[in-house]
Amino acid sequence: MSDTSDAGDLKIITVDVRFFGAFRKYGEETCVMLPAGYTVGELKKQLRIDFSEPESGLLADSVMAGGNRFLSDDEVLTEDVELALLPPVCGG
Amino acid sequence: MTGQENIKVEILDKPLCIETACAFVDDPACGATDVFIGRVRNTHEGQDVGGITYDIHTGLAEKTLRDICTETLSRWPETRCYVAHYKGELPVGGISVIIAVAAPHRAETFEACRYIIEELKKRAPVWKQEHYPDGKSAWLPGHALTAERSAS
Repeated sequence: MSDTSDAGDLKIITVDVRFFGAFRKYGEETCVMLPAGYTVGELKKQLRIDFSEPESGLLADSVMAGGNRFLSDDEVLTEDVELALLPPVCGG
Repeated sequence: MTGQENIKVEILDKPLCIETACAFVDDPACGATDVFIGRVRNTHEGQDVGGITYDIHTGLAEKTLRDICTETLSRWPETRCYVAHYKGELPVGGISVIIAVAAPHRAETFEACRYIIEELKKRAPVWKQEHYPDGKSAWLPGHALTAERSAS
């Protein structure tokens, strides 16, 4: 279970990111601490740095989902949340 | 009216069943049933393949497949649709996907079945990891999702 903490005016949130497909090379999931108000796009940028991925790498072609909803990169993260990182799909 | 009673989608980690698919879409008003079966092939781009692991975001996949079937019913209103996708590892020949569509006449079953498989490949959160005879494996490239298209 994750905690939300306040440091002065800065609210820090915990984002659990589950991995799928090619991202499973990084494990089942990761946990990222971010200031509240960060966007999904900024979270992806943070992950790209953590993974040492090139700007044009897999993350650039991937999308986040929360619950059963796809999120745009502009979506603002305000609370602790569990997200899924979805690379390009190839079912069937 | 969305006709949700005419739609069934399943993500399963047990063998997919053609009889189950046909039984769901069977209806006295339907004179035609078209069934698509996807299987694991033994080669891919010239390389021998021993099997495939299917990774799936189950909740989103069920929602996406239901959305695709709902679109199908709006295009071909008299159809009944069943879609099942396998989750886990399959050997060569294993059934990864079954789509069954029934309708009063054959034309709409062919068209609707084709629509469902093509949209599934572009939109369903499913990923393939191919396994090779030398023990190596690789995740296959695919179609990038977008929040806008996926929300449709």
